[in-house]
Amino acid sequence: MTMMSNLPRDLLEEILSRAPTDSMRAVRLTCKKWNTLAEEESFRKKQLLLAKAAKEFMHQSPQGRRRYKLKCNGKLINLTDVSQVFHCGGLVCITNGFSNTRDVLWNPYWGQTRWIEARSRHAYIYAIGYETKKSCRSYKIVTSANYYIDDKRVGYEIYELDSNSWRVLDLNSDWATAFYKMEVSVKEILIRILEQEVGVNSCFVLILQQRDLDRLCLCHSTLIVKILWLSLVLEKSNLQCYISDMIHYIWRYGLLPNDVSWRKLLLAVDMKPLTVCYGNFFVDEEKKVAVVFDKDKEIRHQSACFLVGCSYVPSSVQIKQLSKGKSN
Amino acid sequence: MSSNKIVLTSSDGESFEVEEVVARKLQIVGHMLEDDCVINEIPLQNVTGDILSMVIEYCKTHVDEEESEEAQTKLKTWDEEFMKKFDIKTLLQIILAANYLNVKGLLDLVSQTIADTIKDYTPEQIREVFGVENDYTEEEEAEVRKENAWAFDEADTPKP
Repeated sequence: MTMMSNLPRDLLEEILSRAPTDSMRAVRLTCKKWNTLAEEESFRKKQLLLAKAAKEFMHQSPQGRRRYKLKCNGKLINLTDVSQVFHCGGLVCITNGFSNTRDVLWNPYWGQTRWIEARSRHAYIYAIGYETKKSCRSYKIVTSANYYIDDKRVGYEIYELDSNSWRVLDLNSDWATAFYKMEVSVKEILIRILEQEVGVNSCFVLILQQRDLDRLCLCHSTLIVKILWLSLVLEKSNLQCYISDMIHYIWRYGLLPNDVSWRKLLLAVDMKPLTVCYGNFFVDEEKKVAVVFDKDKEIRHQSACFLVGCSYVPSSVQIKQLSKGKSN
Repeated sequence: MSSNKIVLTSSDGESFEVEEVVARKLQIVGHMLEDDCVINEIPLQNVTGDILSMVIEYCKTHVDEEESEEAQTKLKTWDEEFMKKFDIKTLLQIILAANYLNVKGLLDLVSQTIADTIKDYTPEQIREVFGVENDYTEEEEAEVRKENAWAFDEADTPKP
């Protein structure tokens, strides 16, 4: 009799890698062989190719006033007052807005989550990123803040998952800046923060490399830049930075390693029908789509997800759970 | 092009006469025909008649795959209906046959169909449906369960 257990390995992989993302837990619990298979590189690659998680997880729908459900292929997460959603390196950070002081870090691939005690209630812009340490990804969350400790303004704070601790990011920024959007990138040591100088129609990207701060100017002199969006993508050691002027287009800049000049590579998507307020977006050039999280145009104060595709790539990284003493 | 007929014979001796274009959808047959173009009867050792007939039915339907959206939608609907006919055991036999005969489209279709049945199953149900033996010890199972816990399960969600 033909049984699943009689199938050759490659056929088993062919089948199980197509299982819905939120069924992976059940698949891994079925037997040791399947659990081992699901951890293998070839299995993961196949899953990526199928990109199931990419299509499945990011579905955000308002459930009445200020209640949202995020859907991971049928598995629903209930959240009150979702403020923003970020992702990087396979992890998704969901912030809970003002009514809740806890944020959620989520790996949709495993279904793991971790609640993070927010340091400041005033943090309203978040970014998630990671650096690679000894082939392990060390994830971080950066938030913008605006309060004072001993008369010194705190601008940015960084949370490290490994140590479960917050610290103030000492940028010593004395520029008069209005902060709009930032994203912690993608590889190694880069943290990029986009700022816009008040009253000047130009914007800057701040790059924190280890402890040295660089500031790059993006010459947008011809644009009336009010609010900018930033999205970063790493492709074959070439960092792509997508910037939208929120009115017309998404611009793509390539930032090559050891080369700090920005090159405008692409002028692509007409953002006009989508944009109302500040938001979060991802670009998938291959599919020629942009995914935008934003406030809804019609129903004010409701978040909406303009989902045309998604650049989210699942990751098998494990979110380390806190030891019991620290947990809350 | 002449509509050359090829006879495919299953392991249990059942014969199917099909057009060459249909037979070529089975890549194993395609390769044989390229090696020796005078063959018109091909024995297929690893597949029984009842399964082979289903593979042939799939190949006949997919023989000219048109690009148009309408044709694609029609084929997709046909695929779905076709898959509904079979239970898991038959699907597993078809996937083995599709693998042996090298019919990529059918392999993809059956893989996805089987994978979709996993949806909403508990590990216990998966074991039962697919005839998989649980070789975890209690401790091991608890460990994997913990690693993969859904912290969003109601009990774990903190109260505001």
